Amino acid sequence: MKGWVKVFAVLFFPVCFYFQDASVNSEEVELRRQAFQKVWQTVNDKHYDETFGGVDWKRIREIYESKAMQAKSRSEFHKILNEMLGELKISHIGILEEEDVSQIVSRSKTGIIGIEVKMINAEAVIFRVEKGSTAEKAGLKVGFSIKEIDGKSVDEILSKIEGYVLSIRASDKLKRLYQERFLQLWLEGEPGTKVVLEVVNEMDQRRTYEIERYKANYELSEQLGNLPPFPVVFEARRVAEKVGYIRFNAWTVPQIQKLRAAIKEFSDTIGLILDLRGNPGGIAGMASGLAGLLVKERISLGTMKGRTVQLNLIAYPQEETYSGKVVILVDHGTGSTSEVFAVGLQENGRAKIIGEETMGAALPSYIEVLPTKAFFQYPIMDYRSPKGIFVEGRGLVPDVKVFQTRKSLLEGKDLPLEMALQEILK
Amino acid sequence: MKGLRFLLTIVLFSSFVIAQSEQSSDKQDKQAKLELPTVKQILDKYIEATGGRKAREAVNTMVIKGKVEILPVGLKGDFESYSAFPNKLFTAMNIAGLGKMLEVFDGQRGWSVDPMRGKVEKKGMELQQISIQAMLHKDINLDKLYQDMQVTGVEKVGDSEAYVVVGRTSKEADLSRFYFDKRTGFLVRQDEVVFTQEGKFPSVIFYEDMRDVNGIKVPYKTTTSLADTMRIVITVSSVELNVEIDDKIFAEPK
Repeated sequence: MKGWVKVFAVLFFPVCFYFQDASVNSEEVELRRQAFQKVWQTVNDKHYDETFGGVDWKRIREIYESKAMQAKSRSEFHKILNEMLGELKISHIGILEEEDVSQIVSRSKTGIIGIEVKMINAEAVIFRVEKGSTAEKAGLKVGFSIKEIDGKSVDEILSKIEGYVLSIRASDKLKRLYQERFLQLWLEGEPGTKVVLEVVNEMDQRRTYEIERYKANYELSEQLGNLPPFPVVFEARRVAEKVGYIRFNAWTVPQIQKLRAAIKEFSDTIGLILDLRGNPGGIAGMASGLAGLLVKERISLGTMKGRTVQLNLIAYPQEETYSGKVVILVDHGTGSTSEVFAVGLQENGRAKIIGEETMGAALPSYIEVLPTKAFFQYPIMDYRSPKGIFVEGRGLVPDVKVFQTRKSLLEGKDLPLEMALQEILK
Repeated sequence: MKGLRFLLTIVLFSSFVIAQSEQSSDKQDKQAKLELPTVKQILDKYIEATGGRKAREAVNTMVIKGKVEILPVGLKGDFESYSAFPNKLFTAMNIAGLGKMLEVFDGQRGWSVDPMRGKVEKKGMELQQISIQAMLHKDINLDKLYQDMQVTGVEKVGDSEAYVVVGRTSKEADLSRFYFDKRTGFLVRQDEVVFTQEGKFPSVIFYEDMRDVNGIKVPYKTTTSLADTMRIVITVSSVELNVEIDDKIFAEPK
């Protein structure tokens, strides 16, 4: 499916809607009334900032309640709730419909061609080609610029989410991430079907490729309460004899065992590169867990403050800790728990951060189920780095800013990764 | 079991807020103070209501098993707790999707273990708290464990009235509030500030469904209310007294 719904479902602060008819009988009206009340009241009572960032939350209710209750469908109702929540202009808040959650799960079995796309200078550039994938076999290479997918131009495809991105007041970094995820979804489909790509290759020639999709077979994390299962991607290898490299797509529970095993495997190395580019977050406690494998003394990764409680996020050194250099790669798609982890180690002097400024979406949150069956995510605390920096809306500034270019990718260079290697080997 | 609830919430980044007592008011307090029993009378009635000192002191081990549910985040799992006289404790929650979380106290040292953060040894006030929590006979020795206990009034807990007794375990500790049902004598609610290395968390625990187990009364349902942010409900399925427990379970977790 190429509906743009899915793109938001794969993010950790998903806000999406689709069209679904629901007869507005009295039972439905009551469910919506309860759902509206739940959403508005929860924010009113629990939002970490009692000033709501200057937004008059009571006035917001007056504006949106009647509008929401007049919605013609349940999806439209949820869309209006999202608009209301969007007034707060923060991350980790929104409504995700039941169907979108099932799409996250079904995505693990979707058909893919084995490439990862990044928006680089407004171009859709192939950033990664999986070994043995149909894309590799067809001849697609890192650095190729995608111009059309199944006869539709990339610009035309991206125009479909333009309105939505505007409606949620997404930052440029977030917009870029949405664009990448959306294009990724356009590449997916039923296993066995084909996708036609028109690309510009390394010779600046337009070429057409017809590539068969194969079953993704992603591992799924287990459902964690109201947090749906999530496809798990994990990669650990040596990028030099004495340098380990670990990449994972989200902070989900199955990753921690893999992280422990990989770090143990790399115990003889002089440096470790943790690639958190495109990692939008996950279970926050995992940041402490991974940090605990990298530090010899207890450190704070920052503080979280709700209306009445302040929590210090501590990493406890574990029995076998890694003692080599640590470099963390970040970009605009690095969000939430990834930001907490990176800034925590950065400010404690344990890691050097290389790459682009991060998403700036770092708020611990809960997910509840509404009477209308949708999932409601809301932040319960703010987050400040060990030095007191409010990361939400700002992002993390790397120690070394390195921007990926298409030219370097075509030359087979991943600039931030190369910089990380230099940093470790110097 | 208390410690585990907080371990879980730390891992999941929850926030804790003390719940307001229902319909409490200064007026109620003032009226009630006129006819308040003493701390000793209240604690004696509680001990008697739960089986009597002799029966309670005859308990050398206790094994509790049940289910746990964390609301509103929808986590569910199994719960088990092993206690041995005088003060050894092992509690475990196995949460679906998260894994097994432990709290252990061997009589001197204490640890928490979770799948994400690994093993953490308890220190300072956190250690002091688990050392008290681990005392199998703590409920019949509240007057010894808490300093300067006072009866402050009567408040409603649910539909019933309860005497409120306050005290603290040490000068550094925050005030704890115990609510004893006026009619039955049972402890029905307990407000505490829990120390962890991550910070201090106010908690409110409600005890319900008191059932007889070999002559002593045990709550089969406890709800730790973290304001309207989170509730952790433990529903007990079995309680065994004076069964043999392998001492190894209380050793430092690997």
